[in-house]
Amino acid sequence: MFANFLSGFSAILQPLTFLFMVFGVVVGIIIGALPGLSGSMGIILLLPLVYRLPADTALVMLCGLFCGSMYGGSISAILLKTPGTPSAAATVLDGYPLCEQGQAGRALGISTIASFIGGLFSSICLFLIAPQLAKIALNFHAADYFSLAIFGLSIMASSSGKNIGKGLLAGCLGLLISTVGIDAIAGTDRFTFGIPRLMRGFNLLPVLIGVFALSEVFSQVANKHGKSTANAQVITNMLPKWFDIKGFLIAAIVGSVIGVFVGIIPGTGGSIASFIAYNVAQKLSKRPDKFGKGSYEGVAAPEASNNATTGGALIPMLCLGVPGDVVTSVMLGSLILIGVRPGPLLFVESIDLVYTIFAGMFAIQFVMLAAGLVSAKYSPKILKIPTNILMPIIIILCVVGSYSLGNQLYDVYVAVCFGVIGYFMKKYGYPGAPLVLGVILGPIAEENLNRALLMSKNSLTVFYTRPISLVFLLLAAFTIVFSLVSSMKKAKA
Amino acid sequence: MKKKITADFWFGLGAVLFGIFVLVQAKKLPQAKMGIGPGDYPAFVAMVIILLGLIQSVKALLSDASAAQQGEAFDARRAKKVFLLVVGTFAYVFLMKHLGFLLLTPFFLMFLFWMFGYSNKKNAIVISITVAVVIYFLFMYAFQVLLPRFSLF
Repeated sequence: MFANFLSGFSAILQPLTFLFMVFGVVVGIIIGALPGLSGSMGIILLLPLVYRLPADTALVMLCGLFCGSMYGGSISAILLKTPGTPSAAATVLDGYPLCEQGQAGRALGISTIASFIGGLFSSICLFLIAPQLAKIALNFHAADYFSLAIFGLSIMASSSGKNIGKGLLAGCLGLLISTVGIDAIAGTDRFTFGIPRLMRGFNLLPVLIGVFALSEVFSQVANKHGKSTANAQVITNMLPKWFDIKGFLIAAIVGSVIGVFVGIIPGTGGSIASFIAYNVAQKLSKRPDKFGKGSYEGVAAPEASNNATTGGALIPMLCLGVPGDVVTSVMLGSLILIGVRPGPLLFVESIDLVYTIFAGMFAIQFVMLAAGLVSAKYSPKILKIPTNILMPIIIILCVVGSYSLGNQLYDVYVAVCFGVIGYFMKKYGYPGAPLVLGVILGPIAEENLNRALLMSKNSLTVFYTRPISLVFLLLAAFTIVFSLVSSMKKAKA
Repeated sequence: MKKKITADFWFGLGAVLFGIFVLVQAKKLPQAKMGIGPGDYPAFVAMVIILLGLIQSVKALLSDASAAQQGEAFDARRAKKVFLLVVGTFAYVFLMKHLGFLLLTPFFLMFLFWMFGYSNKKNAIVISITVAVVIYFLFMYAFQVLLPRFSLF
């Protein structure tokens, strides 16, 4: 295990890999800091680069972007009172008051250190938990995989929107989209309507670009894009004193633990973790009255927590092939594009790659700490990049990104069509993540359903007589019922 | 008082009709003796979609429409802008085959800057040309992707 880890470290210290790791972190921080851009969009924009790099380099770069964007969200939360990513929403509560008190530098410093603590803790958990979970998952039967796909979809559908029915509808639409083209089992044409192009089905990349990037640009076109109101104060005194660090260390550790566990639960993510961490830190604090008025702990807890979700979210994605949040669902899609199929077999067939990710996650935290402390001085300038210049460039990058997949304009048309679908889904409250997860999990669910039925001679009992399958199905049912009950309670309130 | 029908109702109804369409198409596909046939899995998903669509439509009819409608009030200006952007993007992709990326992209970018309300015309022209040239050569030399070129035929 440790030998593998050391070999992972030697892989990330290769000049090309290290360079792209730093590049991923820096791009992630910038993307995370800019309101309107998200980690998932960042990964999508880098996809043309991703599938031209060696798999380990591409993966480390994506992990860097993931962690960087999670941290970057705090910069605009502190300086603009607008979280760059939803995960930084809780950071606004104390980060902006600190900025108003002339302590923007200190708030950014605390956020950077807390993000480092959270990220490092989650990297340790990823290293310790993922191989054990993969060992268990290696014993999975076809029926277990089918039930796991159903569980993944149900949890993503229930957590990514206010209305679970809409989430499930989006997920089912994704499952149907994955059936278009030649069926992998019998080789029959499905839903091609005589159009030869549709025989290959829909490529994942244009779907991702459409649903996550173009839809966002379409919905921003009617917004007013005024000049950024980034706080003009000079960023100084970033590094907190040891006395201050001692004051927020407990909050950062508590946030880290919460973040990892919330991150492991598929379909959750940084925003939920950071609010839970904020509330728990307030309850544990000696000065709960300072929360909301510029408490150091109020910045440290959510920031440690949302960065701790990164390693947590990678655990189910790498071991089971089920993403932990929206960004990891996009990451899962991009891994499939470069020929890496996450799941327990990854730990057998590509163990070097797995340990390169583990070592990369450790190194990324140090790079992020350094980049965060250096870039904070320039962050007000980053925030002044006007959205009305960025959005048009993003459209062009989306177009060339989809085109570069197979040098075909057909893929660009598909991306624009899914952009329109994604726009309407967003407008009417249908989450995009279950749709994409449906496209990813659809073939896994269908193939394993068929295999399980063949092995059991068409007996459905296999799905509830196998303990693992039964547990996943019960968890899926529990997730749906729990979400329905809580949404009904909310509606009544 | 007459109840206002919400978008949720229409989307639910659309899901039901879409599910029925998929179900009919799936039933035309060959059946398997063992395991699942090509149509069985989409048929199952279509049935779930019909069920979810029905639930959504009924829920939308029974719920208080006024609260639900508040967030989805039709904004003609916004709809016009989105429509124009989508049509412009489709036209750009269509024309790219004939006019090529390098020739067409600066004009499309200027159109986008106008759409997004960027008012500095001189900067818009400079940025449009620079971005198009940089992306074209970046993709050609770094990623080995030859973007569409101008062609008379």
